[in-house]
Amino acid sequence: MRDSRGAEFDDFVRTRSVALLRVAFLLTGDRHAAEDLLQEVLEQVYVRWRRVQTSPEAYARRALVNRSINRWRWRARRPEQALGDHDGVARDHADTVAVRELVVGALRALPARQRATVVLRYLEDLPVADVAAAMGCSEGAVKSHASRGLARLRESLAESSLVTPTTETGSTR
Amino acid sequence: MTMNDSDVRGILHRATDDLVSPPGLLGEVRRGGRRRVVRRRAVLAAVCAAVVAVPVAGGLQLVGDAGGAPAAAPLLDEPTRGDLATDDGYLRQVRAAWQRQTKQVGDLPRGEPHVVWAGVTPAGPAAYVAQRTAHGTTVGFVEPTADGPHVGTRTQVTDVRTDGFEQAALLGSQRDVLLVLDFGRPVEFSAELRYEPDGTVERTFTPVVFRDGAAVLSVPPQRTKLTVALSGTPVGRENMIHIDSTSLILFPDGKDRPAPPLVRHTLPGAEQVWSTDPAAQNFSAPAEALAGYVDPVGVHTHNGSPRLSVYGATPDGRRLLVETIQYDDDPSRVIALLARKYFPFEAVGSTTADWTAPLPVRLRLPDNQGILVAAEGSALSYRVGEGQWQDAGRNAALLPATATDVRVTDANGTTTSVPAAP
Repeated sequence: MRDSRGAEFDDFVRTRSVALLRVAFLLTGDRHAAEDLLQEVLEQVYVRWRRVQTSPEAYARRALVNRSINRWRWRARRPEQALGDHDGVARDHADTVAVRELVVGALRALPARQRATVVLRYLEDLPVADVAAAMGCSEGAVKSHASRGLARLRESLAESSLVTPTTETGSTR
Repeated sequence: MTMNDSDVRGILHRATDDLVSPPGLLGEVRRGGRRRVVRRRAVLAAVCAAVVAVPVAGGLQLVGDAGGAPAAAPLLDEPTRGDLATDDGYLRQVRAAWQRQTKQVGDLPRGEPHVVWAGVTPAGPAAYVAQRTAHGTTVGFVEPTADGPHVGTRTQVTDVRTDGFEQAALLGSQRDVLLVLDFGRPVEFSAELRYEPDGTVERTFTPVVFRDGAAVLSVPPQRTKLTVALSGTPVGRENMIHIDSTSLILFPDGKDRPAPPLVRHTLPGAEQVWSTDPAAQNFSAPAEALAGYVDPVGVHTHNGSPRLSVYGATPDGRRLLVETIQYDDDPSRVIALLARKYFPFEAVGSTTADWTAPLPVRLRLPDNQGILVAAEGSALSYRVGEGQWQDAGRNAALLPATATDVRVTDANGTTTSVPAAP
């Protein structure tokens, strides 16, 4: 018996799932919810592979954004994972955990579409046109969401001593 | 301090750089992608029931279609199994019911439906059917009703294996017959979920013995809640086996249940140990910390009791998190978890909530860290022995371990005094 999706689908999941998981995590703010969301979207990609195989990542991104807004449905699947406690966080990861909590907290304060715009634009580095495609809105709307979202995000993050501007230190990564 | 775009990019990456794909993601995605439920089953009418256990067993190699591509499909080609495999009259009824349903849902059949298994159960004759369609293969149980064979959930499958399918169905007016198909892998059965005195859950599993393609189990009636559970091996959520014909139990009258009210409270002092406002973030306990309190494979509803989360700080500087878990019509379990900063939460104690009582939640923490009390909408105060009453705020409080009495004044002004700990 053969599977018509073949190795291409497997390659797509293997190579792109981490990037998509990062997007899902910042959209949901919860590790388990992000994993559930990603799995659901990848299953959707699997079923529609023949139609979407020319641009599966764009399709997956759009599905992530759409589904992240309808959160209740998949949130009930299992208890949420604490932001700072997944993967058995060790003490030397404390700073990472704190940054993650801070970022997720700041993103959660944004309206869903602003949050999605900021994540796609600044985590994924997507051009405005691609963000508009993923969001299903105009490029003007993306610019507007990005501008407002970024302003609020800067405001939230700038209050924390955990955030060191790259312009002063060279790199924060 | 101002941040430019690079700073924002940098911190978004810092927050996500160490995330890795969950193990087994590809397999899970493929498994999930293979099954797509196309239609919820309709109402199962009253059925006849001759209460005779009919154990059947055996091995059956079931393999489905491959994404619509024409290919050999043993699921469709294997001879019919079960003790009604040669009952032409019954098989004819099954095929007729299946074809009626196919027409109703607008499926595009290719060829005749194939009865994979047909047999007698205490609820009446039942069957499992596979049909090649324009989109792949559709499978489903055919259940006994007073009006004859009735098609349950039809599942459109797009791939070659059977993992993730509804492998079992509850039959009978009392939902007390569990038909489990043999898909060639070991299956473990649990009749009920029990609670230990400490609030953790306990399930006992026994292997399902198949004969001639299926097993028929007599189970406690599953009319209002689903106590039974099936799992592949090893037993766990990832190997959970889906049971068909549970919609009426989980969604009475075809409606979803309203979500339980979420009640979140942050106690004074929490900000000293929580780096951010946990209530604002809808912070919930890590799944690992609650593992002992969560049913590993069951499916449950809720009775509408509040889902309580309380965030606080213990006198010795640990983060305090209190959550409730409530299944079906069982009591709400209240679980206290503690964590030192940057360390994982651990469950340290539990009790049950009585939402009809003036003070529904009273839970003593270990190591003399206090007594957690909660009464939504009420003013709280406490005293030690015959001492003065001390104000403890509203809704929820962490009282000193020495507190002996709590005074609760509800929204109507009614005041009740209760012992601080049960």
